[in-house]
Amino acid sequence: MTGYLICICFESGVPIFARKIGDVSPISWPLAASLNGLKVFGKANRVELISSITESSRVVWKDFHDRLALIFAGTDDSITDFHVEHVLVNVFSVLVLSVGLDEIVRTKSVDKLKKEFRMCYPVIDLILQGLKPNDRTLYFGDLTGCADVALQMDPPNNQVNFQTVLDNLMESIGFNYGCLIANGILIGCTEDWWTLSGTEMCLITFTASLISDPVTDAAIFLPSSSPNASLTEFLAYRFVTFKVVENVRLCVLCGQEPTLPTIEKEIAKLKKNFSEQLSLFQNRLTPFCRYSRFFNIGKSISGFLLVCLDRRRCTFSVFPERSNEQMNTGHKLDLLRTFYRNTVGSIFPWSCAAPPMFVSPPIHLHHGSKHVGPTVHKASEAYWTSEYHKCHAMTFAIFQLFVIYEPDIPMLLMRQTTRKLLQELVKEKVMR
Amino acid sequence: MKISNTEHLTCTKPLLKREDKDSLLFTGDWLQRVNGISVDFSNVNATLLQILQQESSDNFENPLKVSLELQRVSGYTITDTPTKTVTFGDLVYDGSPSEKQQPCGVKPTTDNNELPIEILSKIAVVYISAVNTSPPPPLSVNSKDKTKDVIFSWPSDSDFRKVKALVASHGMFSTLYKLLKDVTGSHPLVSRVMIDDEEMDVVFSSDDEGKSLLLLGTATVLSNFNICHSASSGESSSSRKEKKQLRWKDPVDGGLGLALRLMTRVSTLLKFQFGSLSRAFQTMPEEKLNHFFTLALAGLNDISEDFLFPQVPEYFLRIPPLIRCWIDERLYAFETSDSFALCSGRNSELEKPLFNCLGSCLYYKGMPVASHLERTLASHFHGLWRTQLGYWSIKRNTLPYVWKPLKRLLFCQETFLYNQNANLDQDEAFSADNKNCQQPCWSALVGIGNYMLGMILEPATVENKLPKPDPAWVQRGFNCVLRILKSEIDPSLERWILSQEKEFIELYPPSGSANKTFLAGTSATTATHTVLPTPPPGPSGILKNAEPPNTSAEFSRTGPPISESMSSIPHTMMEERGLQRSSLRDYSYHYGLSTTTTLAERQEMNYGSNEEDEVEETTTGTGSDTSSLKWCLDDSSRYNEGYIDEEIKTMSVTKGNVLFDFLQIEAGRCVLLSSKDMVEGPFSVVVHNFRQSVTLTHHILNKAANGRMRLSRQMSDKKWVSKALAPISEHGVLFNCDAVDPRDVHKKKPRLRQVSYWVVGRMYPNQREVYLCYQDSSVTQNLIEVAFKLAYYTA
Repeated sequence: MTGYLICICFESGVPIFARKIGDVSPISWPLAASLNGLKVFGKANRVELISSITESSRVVWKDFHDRLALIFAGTDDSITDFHVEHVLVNVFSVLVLSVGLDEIVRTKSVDKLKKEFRMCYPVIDLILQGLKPNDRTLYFGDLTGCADVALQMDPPNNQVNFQTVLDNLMESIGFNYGCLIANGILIGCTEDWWTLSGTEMCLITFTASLISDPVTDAAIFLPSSSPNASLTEFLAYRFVTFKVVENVRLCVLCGQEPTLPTIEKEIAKLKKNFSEQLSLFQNRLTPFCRYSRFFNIGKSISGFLLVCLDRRRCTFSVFPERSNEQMNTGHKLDLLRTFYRNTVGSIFPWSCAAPPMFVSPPIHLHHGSKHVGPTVHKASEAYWTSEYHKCHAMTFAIFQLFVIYEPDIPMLLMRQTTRKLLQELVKEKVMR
Repeated sequence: MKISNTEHLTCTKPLLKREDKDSLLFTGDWLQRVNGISVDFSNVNATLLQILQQESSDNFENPLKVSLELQRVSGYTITDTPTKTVTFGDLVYDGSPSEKQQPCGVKPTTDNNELPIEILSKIAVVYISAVNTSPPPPLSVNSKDKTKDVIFSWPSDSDFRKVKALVASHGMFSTLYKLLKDVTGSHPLVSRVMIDDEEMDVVFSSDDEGKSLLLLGTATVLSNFNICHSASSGESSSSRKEKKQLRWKDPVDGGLGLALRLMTRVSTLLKFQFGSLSRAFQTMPEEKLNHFFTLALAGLNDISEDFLFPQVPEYFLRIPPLIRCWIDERLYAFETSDSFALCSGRNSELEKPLFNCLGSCLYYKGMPVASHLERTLASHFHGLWRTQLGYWSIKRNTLPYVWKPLKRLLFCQETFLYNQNANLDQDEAFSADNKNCQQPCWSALVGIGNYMLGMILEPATVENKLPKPDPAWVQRGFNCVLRILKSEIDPSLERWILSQEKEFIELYPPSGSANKTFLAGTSATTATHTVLPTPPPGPSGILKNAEPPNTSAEFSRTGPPISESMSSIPHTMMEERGLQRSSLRDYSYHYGLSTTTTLAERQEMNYGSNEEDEVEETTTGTGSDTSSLKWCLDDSSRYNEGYIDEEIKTMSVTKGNVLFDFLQIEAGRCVLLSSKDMVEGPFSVVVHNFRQSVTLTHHILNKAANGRMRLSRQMSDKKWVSKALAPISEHGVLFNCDAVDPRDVHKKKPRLRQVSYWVVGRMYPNQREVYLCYQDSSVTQNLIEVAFKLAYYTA
């Protein structure tokens, strides 16, 4: 994947920032401004530009509150604009998370916005990295709009239930909005944390995983729940993070209480009691590499991604313990993401509330009987094959499972294996 | 005779000494000498000028007297003289457009009023050119309010807001076309825009890197709006018109595919006719352009099965091989230049033919019967004459109402091919807009009675300018048509036209009763009833049945019963081929017309099978699945790349295998394999969803193929290719729906039962795409592979 992301002030056409993906030279400002100028000109003539497709790329324009225009030009590897628009929405949400919607809409100084947006670049780059994944792109929340969660690890590492650990910790602190993040995914979070939207959970996780300071205390604006600071009933949240051990961080969304010393005290206890178990996460592949029991279901499984639509959670792994793997981690992640992009939104629904996509009109049977229909066709499985791999997706109730296989697996066995894997995965407590 | 200083030579009615029929000039007459001097199209102007110069210049007001030596077209008497002026090289009519006289009684759609307003309001065509033209392009009086860069827009009625919006914002599109090349390395193909709260897809096409640009916009909702007059028998025409049925909807891209296909149709037709878009729009009068677009897009009014490739003829008439071979021989004889000198009377040593015939094609009542043109060329030629002569409304089901025999038809137009040496095939060349590959040629159509013969003539030698068309070829064309006319094969072709109005394959039970049909797939199979056990497959991958099937049926192409079809072949043709009536059964079996054959009979007829491929002894008299399929598919050496084998033998369907439908995409040719009840009965919803979801798979596979191509050719934008998507060659989706139980079709409250079916598409290395739709059951993969093979080799 190659591409550009450009942010421009909608009315004035002043470029604010531009990021690039892959091995391309940075886009010049005149080009960037011209791309926006096209949209402005068209809009003045009642023709609003939405997207363009070339032989190998796709360009999508999206405006936010008539204030910011985001333009994405990148590899065209999906059927619709849906996922690219989702990327743009995520990027805008990151900006709102850091700065607040009010500030974005009302600030007249573009330079001020430019300065404030600089701190968002690492998170934005993390989102864009999802379009061209490498070995370190160990997350899917940006793509699925869900929180990346950890499954129970294989024995003997399954002896500690980090959810319980977190619950006890939060009870001690006396607050209910908290989570434990390890290597960029949730290993435990409180019940109230799940009231946040999938995008919010994902972006907060991204933000937390990029922090290097041991303790941070900052204000954030939740893009869906409370984007504005000016509304009296919604205030900016206090986002407090603590480094527990290397690669493990505690995040709390709170108000003025609890205080930092209170939290630090409880964290010290946590470190003391669970240092050995927490040290596992120093390996950045933990917990992804500790799901062998799922790969034992089928010898041909190379990776999987499970999404729970209802609860907005997803989990994945691409680390079977095999020495003769043909594809490296980056390739598998790229493949899983591409397969997901070409399946969800066009074949499988994005959410439980999405309208049906395949509908046949009513049919008229013989002898004057009434019309029957319309008929809704639901897609329950999808697959694609190449000489290097096979991919299979299955949907069941609120779950969607995407699996990569080695290329030689027969079709029937592939379907059976996916079904078994799904049955095992949905038993996981965190996914229910 | 009037001398024209333009490229065309115009003949008007001459003043002759004797005003009788024999002295009149007719189209197709060959002017051989003027005042004793031999003339042809290369020297007639010079000769006449010379004659003029010899006469006094003061004598211009008086008619110039010359003596003409003509050769009439032999063998046919023209009883009705053409009274209109015909310019060779173009088809021009005197009088107003409404008085256009068509060679046959087909009324063309000539203006916007012929298309429904619902369609016209959702389409827009705009041609932009920033290049100064000399002379200025022909613009109608009403176009004074257009910006100067907008050369053409359609529909021309100013009430259509989509067109107005596109015209007003044309600068955005031309800038976008160039800008995206700088950003992404390739020009845009299509843009989605919102006009008046309605989404629209605007497709781009340009010959010259964006200096001139053709935009074709279609509202995305248009793909939901295909008016289908699917009337049942006995319905009145008025109720038929009112019945608007939603044919199909493209759920994935909301109409993107439709817009791209329409542009492909329009641009390739224009480039074939004019060589380039700029030439088309600079030279064709606006009135003709309006006419062209009305005709070209009139197909939107009734899109049948050509939902992916609308331009290609939907089907060729399937005629008995005997007649087909005879026609092919006539066409070959016409095309080869070996006999050219002999027929034309020229001295072959001194006068080489000016043109070679690239290929020819024969039409019967406007329907293609045989074609020796490469497929893409055939589709371009087909679109050319249908558009120019306004024959777009000819459809299979309208033939009895619209076709009237021709008195005499001659149509000839300069067209453009793309150089085969340019390392691009025709489709790529057209899409690559490569002007350097253009090769002008003549496309001609001659017709008498119910027959039309098309030909494409390329210059025999490379010259800067295309020579004038050689009337000898025209004469030979007429001769060929006359010979076919005299062969009296009309009844056979007529019968086959009528018999193919319903292109369904009926299943005949093994008892041989042709009146009963067998419903395939009426009940879901279970493992206990399936006839597909797990023994290893045979050499061709065919399973061997563990036990004879409970029920078997053979199905074959519909058509008249054998005895009737064989008797329809003229005796003269049979005698010509030295055939005996008894051996006709071989041909009927070849064509798969037999309803029942015994094992012994099949073994008698040696169709290339060797001893290893003998039919199993366990097969029934009518043949089991495996043996019948084996006959079809075991000799793969016959199926060379690109070779279309018409020797379809019988196929069998049992309860154990259920094939709903399959569709092969190859430049518009498709084969449907479905029982009649599947298409029209309760499972028609399955067929409907198959066709709409196929477009999704088509997009994915084509994106993958496009990526592979760009990577392998190291194109400038290869960095933008998705490496994860590029290797994909097959894509499938499993659908579930509730369909009416076939047993309850006649009930007032039919029960519903769940149907699960796969829609699978596969792209082969030669870019051929095959799509299958089959029921999800315990059917093993081998049968699916059989179906793919079937589709691949029998299209």
